[in-house]
This record gives sequence, C-alpha cells and structure tokens, in this order.
Amino acid sequence: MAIRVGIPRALLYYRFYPLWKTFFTELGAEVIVSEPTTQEIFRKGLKKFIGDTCLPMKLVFGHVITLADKVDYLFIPRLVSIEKDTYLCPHFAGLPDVLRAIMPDLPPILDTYFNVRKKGVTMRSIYEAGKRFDKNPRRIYLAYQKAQEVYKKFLERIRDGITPQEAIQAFDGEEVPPVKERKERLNIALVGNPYTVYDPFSSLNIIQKLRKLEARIYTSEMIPDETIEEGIRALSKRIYWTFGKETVGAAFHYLDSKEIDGLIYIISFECGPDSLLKEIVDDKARKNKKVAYMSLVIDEHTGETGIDTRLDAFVEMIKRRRRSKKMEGEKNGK
Amino acid sequence: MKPTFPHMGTIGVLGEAILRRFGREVILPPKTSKRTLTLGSRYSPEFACLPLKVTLGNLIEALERGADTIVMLAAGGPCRFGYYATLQNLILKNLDYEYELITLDYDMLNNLRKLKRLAQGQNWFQIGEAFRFGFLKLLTLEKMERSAHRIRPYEIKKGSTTKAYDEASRIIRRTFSFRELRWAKREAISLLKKIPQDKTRNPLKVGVVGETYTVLEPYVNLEVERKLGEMGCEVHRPVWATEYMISMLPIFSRWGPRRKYRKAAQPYLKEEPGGECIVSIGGTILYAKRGFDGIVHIAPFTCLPEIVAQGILSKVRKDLGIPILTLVLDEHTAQAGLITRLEAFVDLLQRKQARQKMKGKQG
Ligand code: SF4
Ligand code: SF4
Repeated sequence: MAIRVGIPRALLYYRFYPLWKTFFTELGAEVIVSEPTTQEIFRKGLKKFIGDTCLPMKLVFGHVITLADKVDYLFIPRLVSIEKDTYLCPHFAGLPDVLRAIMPDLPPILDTYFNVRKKGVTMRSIYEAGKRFDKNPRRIYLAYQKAQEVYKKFLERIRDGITPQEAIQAFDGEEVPPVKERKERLNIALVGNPYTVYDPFSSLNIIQKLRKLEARIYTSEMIPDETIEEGIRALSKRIYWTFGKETVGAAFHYLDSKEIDGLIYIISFECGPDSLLKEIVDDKARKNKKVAYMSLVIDEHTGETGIDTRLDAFVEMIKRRRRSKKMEGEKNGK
Repeated sequence: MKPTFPHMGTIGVLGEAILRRFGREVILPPKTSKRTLTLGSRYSPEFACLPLKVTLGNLIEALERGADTIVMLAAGGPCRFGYYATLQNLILKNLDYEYELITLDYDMLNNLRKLKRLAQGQNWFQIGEAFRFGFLKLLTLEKMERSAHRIRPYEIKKGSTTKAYDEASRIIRRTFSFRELRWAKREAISLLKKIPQDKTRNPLKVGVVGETYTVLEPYVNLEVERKLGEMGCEVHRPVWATEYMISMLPIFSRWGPRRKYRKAAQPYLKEEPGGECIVSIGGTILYAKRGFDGIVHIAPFTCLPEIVAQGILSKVRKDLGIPILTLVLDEHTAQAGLITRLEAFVDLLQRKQARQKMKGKQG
C-alpha cells in the first residue's frame, strides 16, 4: 500500500498545494488533504492550542487533528522563508515543534526545513522531503521538477484572472468557468494572507459573496513580483514578510491603478504582521479618494450577517461614486 | 541636534552614554508612566504589540520636550520589532511632528556613516571609546541589578533593597567618564552591601524568562522581579541588555551569548523562530536542570515568538516537572490581578518546597 501523506487544508496549502501534491504523488505516495474547514474543525483546534493566537494557527491545529489517524506522515514543513530576502511570520518556523510538543501522539511529521532567504531552495531540502518515499536522489529531483512545472501552470492560471481558490479547484479537476464568460460589473481587489482570504470559513465566504454581487476579483497573486516590489518602493524600509509584502504591494498597486473600484483588506484578528501593516494600507487608502476601501478584521466571533451588511454598504458606496462620476463626466462633456 | 530614543529597560543608558560622549545634548523621554501608555495606545494600531505602543508614547513625550532627532534600531525580522521605526515614523508624521529619523539597520557600512555624523567629527578611536564606556556603564548597572536580585529575598526591611538599588543606579547613571564610573561603582557596591539581611532564610529560586522588552522594562511588567523578590524569591533571568545588544550583531548570531540556550532548547525546538523564543525555552530548561523551583514567563499580548514558546513550554513543564506561570501583558493589565496570581504561584512553590524537605528528612 502506498504511504499516505497528510496535508492540512490550512496555511500554505492555499499557496503550494499543487506543488506538494504532485511531488509526493510522483514519488508514489498517496496524498490526503483534510476536509474544508468547519466549525467542528475550528473547535477541535481551539481546544488544543495553548495561548492566544491568530485564527489560522488555531485552524491548522484542527486540521491536523482530523488528519492524524488517517495518514502515515503529516507534511508540516518548517518554513523560515519561502523566497529571497523575506521571512514568514515566526509562527511558521516553530509550528512543527509546537504541534509535537502539544500533541505527542501525532504521526511522524515531515518537517523539512526551508530557508530560501539567502540561497534559494536547496537540493538538500528537496531530498529531505522525499527520502521517506524513494531513496534515489535522481528520482526525487525529477519529481520536484515535475511538481515545479505543474506549479508554474497553476500560477499562470491565476495570473489569467481566476482566484487561487478556483485554481486549486481546477487543479483537482473541477469545472471553473473561464473569466471571460462571467458577467461582472464591479472590480474589487481583495488582499490579505492567502490562508485567511481563500479559506471560505475564515473569510466568511467573501469571495462567493462578491461573485454574487457580480464583482470581478483581483488578488495579489495576479500581479507579477516586480509590480509588487514597485508598489512598496515608497516605504522607507522594505517589508520583510512574504505575505505582508504581497498584501501591501498589491494594495498600493491597485490603489494607484485605475483598474479597480474598491479594495478590501482581510485580516485575522491577532495577526502580528497585519496589525502593523493595516496602518500603512489604511493611511494610503485614506489619501486616495477614488477607490472605496474597507478592512475586515475577522475572528471566530465575526458573524456572516455583519459581513453582509458591510459588503452591501461598500458596494452601495461604489455605485454612488460611479453615478456621481458619470454625472460629472456628462456635465464636463456639455 | 537634540537626539532622543525610546526607553527599553537599561538599554537607554548605553545610548545616552554614547551620545553624551559624542557631545550631544540628549533629551530622554520622561520615565514611562500612565500617560506614556495612554498616548502610545491612542495613536498605535489597536492590535500592535505592547512595546510598540509604549515606545511610541516615549517618543511623543520626548518630542514634546524638544527632541528633534530620533535614533532607533531597525534591524530585525522575522518579528515585528524590525518594522517599528517605519510605522512609528508614519504615525508621528501624520501627527505633524517634525524631526529627523536616524535608524540603525543591518547595513553596517551605512550605520558607520550615520554614527560618524552623530559623533560630530570625533575620530574612530573616540567613537570606539564612547562605545566601550557605554557598555561598561551598562554592565556595571546590570551587575548591581543582579546583586539586588540576590539580596532582595534576604532583606529584613521590605523595600530596602529596591531603595538601595535605586540610589546605586542613580549614582551610576550620573557618570560620563571612566574615572567617575569607577568611583560610582565602588559607592554603589557599598550601598548594596549595607542592606541588613537575614541569612538564615531559604529563598525559592525563580527564573524570569520572556520577551526582551517586557522583561527589561519594569514599568511594563509591573515590576514583577521586585514583587517576586519581596515575596521571598531569588530571581534569575536569562535576558540582559548587554547580551541582547551583542547577539544583535550578525557576527555573534551563531556564537554569541545565546549559544547555550540554543543548545539546551535543541530537543524541543530545531529552528529559531526569532525574538526571545529560544532563550525562553533554553533558559527554562537550564534553570530546571539547576534545580530552580519555578519559572515566570512574561510576554506581551499577541507576541508571536512567545506564543510559540508557550506551546513548547507546556511540554517542558511536563517533562522536567517545573511549575511555569505565564503572564500575558497588555495596556489593561491591572496590578491587583497580577499580584494575586504571583502570590498564588509563590504559595504553590513554597508548599512544594516544604513537601520536598519533608521527604528529604524522612528518606
Ligand atoms: S502571519 Fe498573521 S495570520 Fe499568519 S500565522 Fe502569522 S500571525 Fe497568524
Ligand atoms: S517579539 Fe513580541 S513584542 Fe517583540 S516585536 Fe515580536 S511580537 Fe512584538
């Protein structure tokens, strides 16, 4: 029987799932992903976690618990940084150790160490991740290459304008309607940590809600890295968190571009980096009169109805602005 | 130019000493107070960590006093500390304060250039001497603090150690030359020596670990070390300003004073998540092995590295059988509640100590 590797549907699942899945499948393992987040999963995580922390960390605990008796290994990499000159928040580097400390009975954790801040992804990390399934470094490397190809395609699909969530669905073989065929009248940029924005439980289904309001969604994954760097050039110190940089870079880019009508920044309550970066985005958005802006700080007590009301008000505001702009345009035209 | 910088326990002594030797008129923020905290929290993002709020309050109060230049460390990451200066700058500028910001970052060459500017034409030897003096002064002060921690549980009159230490620290802080410092040190030592002590006591040994800023800043941690001392505990801690400064230098990041903590924490934590996480865990383990009675772990609310530490400490506590009290602090933490929790904890440790003694006698 194939070795079963468990991947929690949390955190970087929303960024790397296609890469990880292809890699392990190529090496003959069976990949098992936990079910989409539910209240039940959340509660399980909350019970185990020690201390007070952000929603995503509580959620990953819940997902790990539901996976524990279904798999031979859990894949929880020890991520210090996933790209050059940037870090992830400190929680990521400690996660495998914290899980092990709090729940000693878990299946063995594949806690491959990734610190690509200085040298990029090393062959050693890749071998480390794959050696349980195949001892042959060449085959491991080939599996990695294949995974990279698949991942590149995944990223390209997102650049074409579908959300990462949909791109993952497409990767898993589901039907995703192409962007061109959609009827969309509003343009809204949605920024924040991917695992908060794309997990429907965390974001209270915001993407679906926006779609119902006929909005086209723009995310940070849809713009190239250079544009993101360009966006934050004005800051006196470069933002050194990967997702923080993407969030602020994308927010700044979209605020300055003429593409969008509104910007929504989703934050999970008690998120360390976002607690500071929100101030920076708020500041910039306040000075921009053309784009409607709203930040949503979400925790486990946030209700869906509250979000609905705020979204309605937000869309109403955009429409009003459009009308007045049109009127101005007509006046000037005369 | 009238430079200032936020308070951070005793670290300010270093900054003040250096800038004074550069011939600058330093404007220190007034002692951190209720007002500092109120001002800082009012203008900070709501969920920012406590040190950011308090230091912002410090900066506002210093600017009110006429400071026109802010000197800050901006090295850091992956934690929030490295981004403080940028954010506080944004907030202060939006409040229409006018000043110049000088940040010291990882870019050493650039740092040296900035230092040279601050030093108003002094040569590198003089700059080096300024640093040497600053460090020596800070070390002396820390030495006094260590003695005070040791003496406090034996003091006969409650509060006498703190009084003597405050006096000693005032004498040391006044000095700005090597000679003055030598004299002050002698005087300070004799002050502490004069405290009447009852050496027959058998105090508990308690380690205080946690996030640097909250551990070093007595106003923010509600003087937890003093309280523990007066409840009869000999306090030790792994976080010291000098060691912290040294480990900030990239050359010492692997080999510096933190090495022993990293080694001790190895079985529990393979990578350093940043901040003081590794010191909190390593320190707890080392203290437990040395037979300490308990650990007080302090952290600001939502402090990322210390949440990681808290999770892992839960295992350490089970494995090594050492009681750990975690205190999470924010701007609303009240004295009364904290005292009750500390008393309950010390009580628990005392009962445990008594039980062990009984067992020892029987065996
Ligand atoms: S970046 Fe924020 S949300 Fe993500 S793990 Fe860190 S604190 Fe939590
Ligand atoms: S170590 Fe804690 S207090 Fe310090 S910056 Fe990080 S989160 Fe804030």
